[in-house]
This record gives sequence, C-alpha cells and structure tokens, in this order.
Amino acid sequence: MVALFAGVDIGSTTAKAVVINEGGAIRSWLLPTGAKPTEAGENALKATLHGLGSDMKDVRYVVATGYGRVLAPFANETVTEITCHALGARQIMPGTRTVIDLGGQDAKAISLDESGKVIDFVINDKCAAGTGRFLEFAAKLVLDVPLEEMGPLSLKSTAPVKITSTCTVFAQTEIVSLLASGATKEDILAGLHRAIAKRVGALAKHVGVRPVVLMTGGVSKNIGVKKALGDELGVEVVTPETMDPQLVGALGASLIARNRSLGIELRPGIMR
Amino acid sequence: MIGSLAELLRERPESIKKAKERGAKVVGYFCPYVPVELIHAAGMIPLRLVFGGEAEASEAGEQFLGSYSCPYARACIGYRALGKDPYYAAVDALCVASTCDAMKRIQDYWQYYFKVPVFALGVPRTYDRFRLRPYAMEYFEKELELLKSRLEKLSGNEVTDRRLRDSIKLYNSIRLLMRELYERPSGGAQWISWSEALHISQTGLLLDPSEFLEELQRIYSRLRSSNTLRAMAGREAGAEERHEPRLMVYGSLVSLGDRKVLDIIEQAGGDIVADATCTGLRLWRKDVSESDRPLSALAERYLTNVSCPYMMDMGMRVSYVTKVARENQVDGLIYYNLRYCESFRGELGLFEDALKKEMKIPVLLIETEYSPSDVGTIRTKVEAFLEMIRGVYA
Repeated sequence: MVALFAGVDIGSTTAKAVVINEGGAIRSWLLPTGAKPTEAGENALKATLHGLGSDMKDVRYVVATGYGRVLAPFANETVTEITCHALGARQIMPGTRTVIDLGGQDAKAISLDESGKVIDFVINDKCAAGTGRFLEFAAKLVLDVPLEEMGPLSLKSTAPVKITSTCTVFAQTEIVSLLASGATKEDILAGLHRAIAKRVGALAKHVGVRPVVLMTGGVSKNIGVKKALGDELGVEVVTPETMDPQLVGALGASLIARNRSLGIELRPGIMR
Repeated sequence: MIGSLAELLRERPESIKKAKERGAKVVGYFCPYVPVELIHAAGMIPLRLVFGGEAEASEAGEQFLGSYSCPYARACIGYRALGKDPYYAAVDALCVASTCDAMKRIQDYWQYYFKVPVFALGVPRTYDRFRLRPYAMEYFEKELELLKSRLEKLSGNEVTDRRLRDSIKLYNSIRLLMRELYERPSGGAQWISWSEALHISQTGLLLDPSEFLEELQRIYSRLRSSNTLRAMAGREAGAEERHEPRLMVYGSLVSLGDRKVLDIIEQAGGDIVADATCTGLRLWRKDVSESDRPLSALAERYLTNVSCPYMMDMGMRVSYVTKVARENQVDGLIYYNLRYCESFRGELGLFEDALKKEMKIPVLLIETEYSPSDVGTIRTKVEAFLEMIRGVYA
C-alpha cells in the first residue's frame, strides 16, 4: 500500500483535487463546485482516488484550500490559496517570480523571492469584475460564443473595441450597444480581454512584476487574455504546460500535505 | 474581569435617563479634537458617539448620505434616524470638530433633519515644515472659548477655572491608566490583549468619567497582582513565550461594535500589539498641563496630539506610525481602511514606501464596510498574510 497525500482546492466555480505519493503528482480531478462546496471537494478527492484504484484509507494527510476550505471536514489542515499557489507554481515552473491567478470569482497576484517564498500578494475585492465569471457571462449570455472559443476568436480581431467598464452588469449594456452599432464579435472579445488585462495588470503591478510570470486558473486557458496580459505588462506570460492550470493551487496543497505528513521540516519562525 | 465594566455599560442608559430627568444635558461629540473636559466641567454628560459595525445603522444612513460614503458617518446619522440606540437618542446637543467631509455631513444632517443644536469646532490644519502656523493656537483657543460660552448657555452652569482644572485632573488620571493598559509590560507577562484594551477604552467613552476611573483602577490593580503571580510561576516552570506574528492595526476609527476585522485577525492567530487608529492608544496620549491656564492647556494638548491624515502634516504622520511600528517590533501592518475614506486610503503609498520598502515590514490593505458579505475574502487575505510572515510553508 502506498502512502498518498491530497490537496483539495474548493474554488467558487470548480473543486479540484490532486493526489500525490512521495515522488510527485500522480492523479487529479476537477468538478464543478455547485451549491455544495464541501461535497464537491470530497467528490473530487474520491474521484481522483477512484482513478488510482484507491480510497480514503490510503490518504495520510489532506490539505484544503480555496474559498471553500473552511467547510472541508475531511481536511487535516487548511492553508490559503496564496501559499498553495506559490508552492504549486514553484513546483511546476521553477524560477517563477510572479503568479497571476484568474479564477471564477477572484483574481490574485503573488510575488515570490528567488527561493519561491511569498513576499507580497494582492487579492481583488468581492466584485466579480475581470474574473472568470465575467467572461463566462459575456460569452454565453451576450455574445453567444462557447467559452473555449473566446480566446481563438478574439485573436482574429482587426480593430479591438474599447470597453471601459469591467463591471459585469454594466459591461453587458456596453456590449449590447456595441453590437447594435455594428462591432464584430471578434473585436468585442478582443476589447473584453484587453479590459480584463488592464484590471488584472494593475493588481500585478501593485506587487511588482518580475519574470518569470506564470498565469494560472481557469481563465489562463483563454489565449486571448493571456496575450493581452502579456501586452499590458510588457513581459512574456507563461502558463503551465505539464498540467491543467486550474490545478496549481491543489498541487501546492498536496505538497504541503506530503511535507506535513512526512515531517519534512517546514521552515518555522517569523520572517524579518 | 471586565464583567463589572459590562455591568456599568448595561446600566448606563438608565442612569443617563435619570440624570436627564434631573435636568442634565447630554452632549454628543465626534473626533478626538473635542476637549471632553469642557463638556464635563459644564456639568453636562459627554458621549463620544463611537458606535459602528452594524450594517442596519449604516443602511439607515444611506438615504441621507447615499451609498458611496463613509460607513461610519452613515451609521452615525442612521442610529439617530432609527431612534433605537439609547445613546444617540439621548443627545441634546452635538459638538463636531470640523475635520473631514464625513464629519461635515454629520453636522449638517443632525442640524437639518434632527433639529439638534450643533457646535462646529474649527480646527486649523495647515502646516509649514512640521509646524502649525504660528497663529493656529490662538485661533483654536478662541474656538474653545466660544465652545465654553455656548456650553454655559446650554447648561446654565458656569465653567469656572476651578471646575475645569478638576475635570482636567480627572481625565489625565484616566489617560494615564489607559496608557498603562495598552502598553503591555515586556518580558512575556500576561496582560490583557490590545483589543480588550480597545474595548475598555470605547466603553469608557460612554460612561461617567469618575465611575470609569474607579473601574479602571480596579482592573489595573487586579492585572498588576495577577501579573506578578504569573510572572513568578512562569519563571519557575520555565514557561515558554508564545510568539505569534506581532501585528499593528492602521486605520481611521475602529468603533464599538466593529469587530469584523479584529475578530478575523485574532481567529487567524495574529497578535495585535499596537495601533495607529483614531480610537486606539493615541486617544490617550499626552496629558493636559495642570499648571497652565486651563483653556490654553486644553488648546495645546488637543491641537498638538497626533491626528488623522486629513488634519495632520504628512511627514509627521509617517514618522509617528513608523515610530510605533519600530518600538513595538511589529511583523506586519494591517491597513484597515473603512471604504470611501480617501484621506486614509491616500496614505497607503506612503506607508508602503516607509514600512514595506524601507523597514521590510509587510503591509496588508483591507478595505471594507460594516456589512458581513466580504468576511470570506478578508479571512483569506489575513490568513495568507500571516502564512507569509510565518514563512512556515516555504
């Protein structure tokens, strides 16, 4: 029987689980969070274990993260998504100095030192502007474009429109009137991506942008946003290549779980 | 320990009511610029209207101020409009220091909608090279003279120098003990927490000062004796000293009932050791001279105490806040900004430079109102901040 360690990231839209052994990442699962975050987290974990032909009894330690972490009775410990993303980023992209995570309802920027330690971070406030929800809303309800086609379609734009509002509600009005004035979907999408890049870019600039800049979270799958963000920051923005970018937080959580369980010394003490 | 204080607070509305029936007048006041000694010496009941934190009052104030405005000012208007809070309802006259825009609105609306007589206390706020203009003190003293005569007219009592000196003495004694409570003895001694000291201080702003002083003396002597006992026991057992991240809270006012951010910090294991807020330690800094002419002494103390970014020289603010951070060896600053306060928000860049860049003390901005809707986000921010300071997962 192998010892397993789990990280469960319960986000606003998706619950993610990563299970690792002492060697590294071996299996993961994603599920929509829905109305029951606790169950979603547990189900993602069980599905991952099922894929391994294993179950909860093999799991030595569980670390929960994400906004639903406080509601996870199956976890041994909870750690914030900032710390987990930093650790996950260091694992999959050594040398990362800036992490920009765009999730369903929040946006965050994390600055790391050479050793991968968090030195500063910023999280957006409660408003959904510039996050996955906002894009989803604009794509599905207003533009009638499937989410996964948003990015490629926006790259065909020849004259991106200027969208001033990233408020989910007001942007809808703005998009409707742009459509009425004859703007193409491509140009509107490119404009939307630029608006998000501006807003998220401002967050990132607050903590200081140093390469390597790693973008994670569901929105990083959108090539249009990734490109616009790179243009906005004037640096290359990279996304994880070896794993789903939505799993970086859960990966970090699983690493903490492993270290905790194996008693690997986690540098204690106060940073000065 | 603080049970007896809570009892005093519970009985306070009734005792105010009885005093009012005997003809006493209640003067509500805002901002630490108002010399409470003057109100007390006029035989009136001073009440610092320091409640906030309840979304209901803030919402009630919205119909007057709109929703994009200081949540505290909204609450201060809302409480009176709702008419349920015994302190706000008891106020016969209001004294508001002319400080920020929100205070101006409180002045105007209480006068216009609630027909409460208001005295606006003028406060000079222009500086040259860390100094107020030379005629600032003269102006402020004249304002205090006028306030004194208005209070005399309203109360029917003469504010003699003798009475004023007695009041000054009383409040100086309170200030001294409050400072002692805030400043934990060093060496790992058991003492009350910063937020307990804050709570005692906020409660004191509503109580009769003589009763409050007696209670403070009781609290203080109990702490002193149990502290000595514990210190001895601790030495024998070789008790280990707890070392949680030492935090400093920055902000405008943390009002009575505004526990949201403080609770989150404490639940996450943060140890608040110092503050730079309007309602914290600096409220009790600096005594009033007991030898100078009372009115001049009051003017000197109240005009030159540390103040808010709206009223005070920027350089002086920065040097005060960094000094407190250094003296208390803080590991991080929680920059608690009540939303829409541009004055306090506007200093963020200064403290990011002075603390984060120069002193390597991380700064966490939390902008919020009294509604509980953002508790989850704030908790994540605070926990991540503490994880970063502890560095345990790195």
